[in-house]
Amino acid sequence: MLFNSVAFAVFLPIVFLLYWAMKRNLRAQNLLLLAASYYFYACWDERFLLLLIFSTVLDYGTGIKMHEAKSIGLRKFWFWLSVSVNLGFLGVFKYFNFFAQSFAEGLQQLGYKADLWTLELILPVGISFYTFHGLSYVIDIYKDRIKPERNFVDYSVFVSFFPLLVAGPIERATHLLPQIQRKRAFNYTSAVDGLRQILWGLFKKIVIADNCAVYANMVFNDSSNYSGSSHVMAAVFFAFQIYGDFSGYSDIALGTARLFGIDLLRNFAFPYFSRDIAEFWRRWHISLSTWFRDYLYIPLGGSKGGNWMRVRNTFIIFLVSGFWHGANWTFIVWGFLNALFIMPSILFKSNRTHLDIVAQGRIFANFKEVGAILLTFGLTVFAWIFFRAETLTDAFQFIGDTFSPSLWSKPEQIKNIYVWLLVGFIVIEWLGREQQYAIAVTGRNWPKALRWLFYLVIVTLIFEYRGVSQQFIYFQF
Amino acid sequence: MKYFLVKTLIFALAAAGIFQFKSYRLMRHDKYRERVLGSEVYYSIDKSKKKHKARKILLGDSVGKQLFDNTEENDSVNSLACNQAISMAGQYILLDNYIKAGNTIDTAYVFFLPFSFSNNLDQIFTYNYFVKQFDRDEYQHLISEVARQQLDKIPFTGIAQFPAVLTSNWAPDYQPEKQSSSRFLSPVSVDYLHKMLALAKKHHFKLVLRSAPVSDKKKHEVALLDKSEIAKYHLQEVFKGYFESIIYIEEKHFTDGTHLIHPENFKGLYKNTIQ
Repeated sequence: MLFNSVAFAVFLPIVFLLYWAMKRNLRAQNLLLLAASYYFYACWDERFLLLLIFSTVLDYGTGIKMHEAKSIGLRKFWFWLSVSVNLGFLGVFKYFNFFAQSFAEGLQQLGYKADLWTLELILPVGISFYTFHGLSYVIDIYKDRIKPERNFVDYSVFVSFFPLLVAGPIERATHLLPQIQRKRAFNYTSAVDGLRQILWGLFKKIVIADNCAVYANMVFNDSSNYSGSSHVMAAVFFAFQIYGDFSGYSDIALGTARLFGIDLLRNFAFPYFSRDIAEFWRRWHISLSTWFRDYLYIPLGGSKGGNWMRVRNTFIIFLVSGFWHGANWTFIVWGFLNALFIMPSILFKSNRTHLDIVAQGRIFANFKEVGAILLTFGLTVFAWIFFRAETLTDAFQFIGDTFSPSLWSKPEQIKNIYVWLLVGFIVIEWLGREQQYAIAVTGRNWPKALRWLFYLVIVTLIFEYRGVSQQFIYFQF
Repeated sequence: MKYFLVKTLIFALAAAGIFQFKSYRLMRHDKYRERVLGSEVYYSIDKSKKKHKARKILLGDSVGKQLFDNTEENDSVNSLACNQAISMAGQYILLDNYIKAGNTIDTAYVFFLPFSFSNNLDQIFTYNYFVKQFDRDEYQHLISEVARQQLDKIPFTGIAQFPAVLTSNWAPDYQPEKQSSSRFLSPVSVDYLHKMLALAKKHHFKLVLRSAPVSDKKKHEVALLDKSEIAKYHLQEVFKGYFESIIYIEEKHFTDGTHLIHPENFKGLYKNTIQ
């Protein structure tokens, strides 16, 4: 069930009304959320609901067992059981064929004929997300940061809460579980804010991402037949496609959760206004970056130790992050490039220079800030080429086709309206960059009629400029 | 909570009102037809209802349209080629319209790639290319039981003619059943090819099936198609010479393996076939 579908538009109000009708009974509310979440997931593919439930039961059980373990050995046993089974499922479903094929290709390079068995497997939707979700819970118990949740329904809601189930944000038990455990009261302001964020998320996905995708797909799928300038535009359009798609989804997820009185972790903070790559990674897919920071980077030693340790840990994080995105060398190269781009700030310890919001309190950025933003954007767009390409060969072909004499010609087949929509979008995002999402406070001081007109204009733009519907990109992860 | 619900409902009604108003405006003078997915199908439908002096008519898929554009005027061959998404059922309806408009046909060409015959009104495009255009009162008598069975599997066909749906590109999520890759002729194609043959016999014109150029990388796929179905469904007459006439050209001439980058360079290949 896509967020931008008729089915979800029917599903959400029903769940919302039933939920608040049960406001005096917390247990009933949580049971309803769980049933709704399982139904939501089953709409994707009911076969994998069992896998989700198994993962939930495993982490619930091992969490309690770890806490009750009388010895460190037993505690470690339960911990590694959970980690290995969870990562095992992820490895088989997501990476088995990649390793088998890469191994076969490697053998062929050495002159051996290899015909390795590959599995005909469908990737369960959201497996990367709910696996990491559960792992954070298990690791936090192991590290004595939290106590295990004894209420199975509450824990299951934590794992399966439908707004975040298929594409995050990757929540933490310390943040989400307490909200599930305590009574929620309907808050008008919060609910309205939630609806506003859903509206903006739908705009980003339907108008920006889906329309950018049309041009990006056209050029990426047939790159040798387009000019260098078209390649540049396609790469830029893909950058906004993936941003609109993923941050739009996150906005809808956060807004939906707010309707139920639950706050989810922020996942995007206007990353394309970053002044360096380090800042970009503090603003892009925040829940995943912080997950890797807390559960991989810091245990590896983090920034302690010399430069070599910092460099090593940074490369590990980005390569693993790339690999998390998919079983393809293109994602690994994407991760490697980002590690390379961030390296100067790691080595010169300037990775925490830009902790504030660019041009905070001002409307316009100065030339230095604009230059830094454009440079950072350019580097991320270059890396996105690998993220988008089907193979490394395609990526290099795309880059090669970009840097040709036709780089200075007019891009082909771009519709002006989509360029203007993108420009308008960037302006609104810029003006709202100090908020949780771009239109969070837009029109707050306007007369109600004008404020409603603004929202109705967004609705009209969604209906008018809806692109050809595309799958949410991060569902494949 | 009540206040929230009331305000949300009012907003939703206002949004729905705007959407309906926009839809009705587009419905006036059929302006939406140029803007939505399947616009080329509407064009072909309108063209099929007009009298034309050409005694040769060409129906076809999107590659057929590339070679014989339905927007171009030609005194000898009237092209109604649009898209394979309308299936053979849609092609039959166009042919029927053309005859009912009082046109005389000597030869009807159907320009379909070999893979287009597997369309069983079960594609994700079916809603925007067939349901909206053809699943309406004026064509119900032309929709066979076989076609109707397929259409009944698609959700929300009942609202396809609502202004808000018709004037937009919205289509329901629909996951068709997977078919064998070697299937050549779908039940809908078989049904309507027989109907076309019957029309050809009744109105004394020739029905000729031909294919647009196919990528040389797909030669193997074409070879794997189950050609025994032609005899099985008694369609030998209409498929006579079809596979032999397929021209294979290098993959580099295609944008996506199917559509030609420069179709004008290949029109000449069909000069003798069509003219």
